[in-house]
Amino acid sequence: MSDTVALALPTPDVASLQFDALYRSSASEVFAYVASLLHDRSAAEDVTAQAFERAYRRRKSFDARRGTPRAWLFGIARNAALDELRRRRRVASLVADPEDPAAADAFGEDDAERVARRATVRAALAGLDPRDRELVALKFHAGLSNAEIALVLATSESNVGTRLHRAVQRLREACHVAA
Amino acid sequence: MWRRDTDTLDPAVARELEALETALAGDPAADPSLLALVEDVRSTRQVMDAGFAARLDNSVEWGFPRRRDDRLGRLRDTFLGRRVRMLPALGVAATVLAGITAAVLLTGGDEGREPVAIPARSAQPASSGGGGGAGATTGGQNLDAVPLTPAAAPPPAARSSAPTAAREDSSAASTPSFGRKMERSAELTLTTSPGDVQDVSDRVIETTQSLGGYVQHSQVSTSDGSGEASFTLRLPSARLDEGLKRLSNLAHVGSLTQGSNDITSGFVSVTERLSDARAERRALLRALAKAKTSNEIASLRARLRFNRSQISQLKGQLDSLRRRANFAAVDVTVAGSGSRHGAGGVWTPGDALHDAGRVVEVLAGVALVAGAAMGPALLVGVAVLLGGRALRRRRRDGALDAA
Repeated sequence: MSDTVALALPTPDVASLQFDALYRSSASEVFAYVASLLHDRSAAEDVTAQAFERAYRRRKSFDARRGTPRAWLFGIARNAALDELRRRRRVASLVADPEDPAAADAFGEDDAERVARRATVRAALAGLDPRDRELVALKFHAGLSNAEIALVLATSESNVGTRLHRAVQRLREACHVAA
Repeated sequence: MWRRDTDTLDPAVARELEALETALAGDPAADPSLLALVEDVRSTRQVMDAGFAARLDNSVEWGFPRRRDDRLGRLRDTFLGRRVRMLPALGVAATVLAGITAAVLLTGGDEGREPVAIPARSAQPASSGGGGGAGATTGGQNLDAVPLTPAAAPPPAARSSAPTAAREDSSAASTPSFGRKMERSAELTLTTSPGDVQDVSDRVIETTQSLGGYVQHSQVSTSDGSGEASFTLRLPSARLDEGLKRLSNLAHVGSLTQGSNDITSGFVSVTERLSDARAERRALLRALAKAKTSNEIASLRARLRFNRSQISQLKGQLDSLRRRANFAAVDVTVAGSGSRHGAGGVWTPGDALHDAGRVVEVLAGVALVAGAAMGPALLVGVAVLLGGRALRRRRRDGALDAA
């Protein structure tokens, strides 16, 4: 009897299950990455939703031989974000990036040193080249490996390493000068 | 996607990147300044608010349903879904279409496997004494399915005046009657592989002899790549149908033409003239017996000599007409046209293999021609596509640089 019931159940869609797992593990990182590119929470929400919708509709075309699911997803998110930038013709500045209330709540009011350091880092990030800033977002916010970043940016892994090293050096220098 | 994979990292850079990875992993043993940097950078990370996260969760759970006004998207979903489901059916349809195309291309050549329309023609003009000639033609068909008896179409006058006579003509065409004399003929083309021409030719002769007929003329020529044989056979008219069936079983039938000609009037005319000549002979002999003068005797003997030669000539004509009525002329051509259909017209596995090879050949030819015709357009299309992608990528990168 149980066999009959099991046979009557619909076969699980493997691609959908994998997409669901990918969504659960990457949603917040994708949003953070897109927000760092757009500097607009509302637009970042739209683009994040759009990126996941695109990925969902193309989930069956994913080829594991061409990279990891996360690299594939961030590639889609990147294209969606850049298309949005092009569409809006709006140049946003990291300096104008609004405060993240959720992040601000993480600090106590008396932790002035931390708040100051954070402001310094934000300023240092704003001083970076947009491409380096994107690299930092992919590395620090999205947590991608250098190989995955290389796939997203369509460049080589060594190039990613070199650029990332340079960006971190600049960040450290900027933070040191500010301190 | 173009990448310079040959680049190598400077060892010092590689070490510092390893240190960064350690700090990103939150390892307490990592460089404290890097740990602090990681913490500070991560603190700038934007976090989804709960409302948006819930909406996105909901969308994912329901599979991003299309809005009602998104007709293009709904159409795309439907089309893509059906396309995937229809792939096997499309594959079968394409295969069948390719097979039909190949078959048409193959049979449009020299093999004539499919029925070839050959204009029907009368075997010979109708004789002057009434009756009529008729022809029946077929090609590339199994003779079991083809009426071998030619439909002896009566002349319009006979058809309109006496349907019964038409039926009699028809029956006279199928079997020689005592009353009417019909001359029948046929032309048969057999196709086989060049290597089988000699074998088929031998069997044509054997079949002819077994039917009580004879070979009036034969010519067989074979070489490495081709071969052809032609025969003029004389088969008993009464066994013509059987003979054609047996001959058609020897190889693939490329074409078959049958005809009939009513020679009754000629036969009657010669018979009457012969009878008259014989009566004249008898009268001359009686007159000779009664002749008394030498001049009279000499004149009668001269007339008897002429009468004998006349009788002999008429006998010859009568024998010739009897032969034409009793033995049908069958022209058989055995063409070694490259077809490998086995003897007896049976489609063997070897034939199938050969035909499959031909299909592949034709398809390759079609693909080559199509490729030659569409190649430039395809190249332009690919170039446009790649150019478009590169341009879009540059524009996206440009948008990032401007951000």
